[in-house]
Amino acid sequence: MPSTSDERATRSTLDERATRAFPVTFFDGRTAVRHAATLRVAGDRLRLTTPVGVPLAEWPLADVTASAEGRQGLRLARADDDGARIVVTDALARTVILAALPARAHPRRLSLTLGPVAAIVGGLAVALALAYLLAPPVARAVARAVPAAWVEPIGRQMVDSIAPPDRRCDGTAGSEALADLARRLAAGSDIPPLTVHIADLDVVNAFALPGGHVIVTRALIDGAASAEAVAGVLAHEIGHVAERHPSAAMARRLLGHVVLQLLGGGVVAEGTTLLAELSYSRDDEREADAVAVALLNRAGIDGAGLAAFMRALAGREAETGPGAIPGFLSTHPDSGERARAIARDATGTGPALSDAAWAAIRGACRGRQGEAS
Amino acid sequence: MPARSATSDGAPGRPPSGPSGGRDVTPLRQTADGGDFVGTYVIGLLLNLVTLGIYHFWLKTDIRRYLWSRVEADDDPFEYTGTGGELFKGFLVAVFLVLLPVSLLYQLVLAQLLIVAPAAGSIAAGVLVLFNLWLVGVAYFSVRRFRLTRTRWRGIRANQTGSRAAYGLRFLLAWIANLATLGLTLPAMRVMLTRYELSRMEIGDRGVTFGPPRSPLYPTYLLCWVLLLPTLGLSWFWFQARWYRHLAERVRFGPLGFDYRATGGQLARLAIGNLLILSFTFGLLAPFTWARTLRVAIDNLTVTGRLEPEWLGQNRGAVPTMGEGLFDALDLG
Repeated sequence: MPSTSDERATRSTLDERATRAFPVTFFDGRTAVRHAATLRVAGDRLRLTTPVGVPLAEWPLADVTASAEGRQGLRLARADDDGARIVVTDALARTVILAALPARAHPRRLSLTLGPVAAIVGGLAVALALAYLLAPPVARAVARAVPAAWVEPIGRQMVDSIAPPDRRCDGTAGSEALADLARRLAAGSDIPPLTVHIADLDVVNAFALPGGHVIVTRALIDGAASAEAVAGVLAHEIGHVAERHPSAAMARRLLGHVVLQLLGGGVVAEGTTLLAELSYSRDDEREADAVAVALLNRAGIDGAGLAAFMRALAGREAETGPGAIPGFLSTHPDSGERARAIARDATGTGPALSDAAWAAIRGACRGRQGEAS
Repeated sequence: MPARSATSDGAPGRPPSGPSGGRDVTPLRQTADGGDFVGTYVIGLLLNLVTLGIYHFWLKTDIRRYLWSRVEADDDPFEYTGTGGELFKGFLVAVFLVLLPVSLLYQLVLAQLLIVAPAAGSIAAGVLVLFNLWLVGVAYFSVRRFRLTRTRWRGIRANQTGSRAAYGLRFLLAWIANLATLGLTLPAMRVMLTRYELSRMEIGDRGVTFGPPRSPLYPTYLLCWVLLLPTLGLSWFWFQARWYRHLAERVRFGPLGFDYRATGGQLARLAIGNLLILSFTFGLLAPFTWARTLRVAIDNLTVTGRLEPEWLGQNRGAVPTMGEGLFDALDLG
């Protein structure tokens, strides 16, 4: 056959190498004895014999893995590792054996190559996207499943931590009137029992807490332009309770905490869970707004009051910047947009409270200092 | 007694089977440099970042493969044969079967209990703390078992027998005792725990023995304990040096004995140096700190006596299929 003398020379060298015997060290995996042995690459297997030719072992090349840590040369082992090792220090032997082994069996610095890593990153992306989408419905299901009796004490504790009993204006004519208003708003729907508190605090704020607890601050009542505005805020908080937002938010935060632990709690992970929570909160707020409008409409109360309240807050947002804004707004969607949505959907036209009731509510915290308790 | 065969250039030959001579030593050597691993390590850290921490099981594995292979006994290196996949599986099991239920139990039931019935709640909380301590002991023992079964020398595997639940209990008791006595029981507790570990440790088909003490531990400990505050904690290194030496004296493996001669000063310089290296390089040059530690550990350790290779057979004990998940999940490094 036509071939140059060079090709012939190369082929014969390769053939020579293929059947050449290399000195190696063999550990049989049964004792710590070091055996001097001879290794040959024979077709699809490694053939190991003693220096005089007594067969020691035969390893199919497909089963062999190689590692090259440290300065000891090449160490060969079998896939179903029983402890047997072939240590190859001869440089030529190394080349021949590595050439005979598939690439996946070659020594690697990184035990996980870029392929699997990319798969992990992809898998993570999918898992996180799923977690983001599934968290709200799962949390809501959990919130509905947990019995109210379990949740109520937690809510009460939270109320106490926001406004301890001596800073609350409960048990007054004003708080009674407010509770009455809440009952009117919630009438006819399957909203769980509500407990409305007035907190003698200087910050304009309102809270919905687990177990049907709602807090409205004195500053909010003082700052409201009308009874209808307060009714609107109350309806909004009742909306949160109706949709089980407080409990669901707690469940979500729990889930988020667990996920954070799994991911090792790095800054990036924390930031991401925070952003997710904020976006969930904004969804909750929009839902509460919708329920608020529905409740106001059903009670026949004029929704313009609430819309005006939102616009006033939007105005404060614009001129003072985020620092001065009441806490709950930072997780709220844009107040101007909310005002427009409310004004658009509100149909009621009636008053929220009688003048007497409204006066009582405004004065709920004033007479408090005089009351002995 | 059969004559020793010594080669003419004075190198010690191997005596045929018989009691180990007093001058016989099994050479123990480390070849860690640190520099040859920094590249791999930094890439590993990047991959770890990109995979939100999942990669770190494989990074740990690569680190161990590097470190194990840099220690040679009798001219043969150790090998780490664990895989990142095993560690990852162990982690998943630990998180979903242990941590999650316990965490949920705490958040839902215990928090409720504390509000509704504070007395019962406090007791339950106390029990949970004890349970967690026990878990830490269990995790630590599992770690030992996993790492030992993934360590080979000349193909011979090590192992750790004994019950991790029982160890966890001893661990818990040790903690309580140390806390109650402000640390005065620490040496005794350490000996108790180490005895449990080492007397149940196997290399191949032979057991490690933990023998009687040769010199007391408490005098040094009490001195270091008293001097702890005045020396701003530095006296601790002197106790640690004494402790390792005490351990080495008591451990035997067949004909092999151990002698560890690092001083407190060396340990202190090691720790401080490592701290400085890590702080000034944001942890990126950690491989150098491992190399330094390995150097101090191995260069000061002498193994007296020699093994007859036929004496050491392969370990046939049970081997855990998964990694030390609990340890990882509890964030214990």
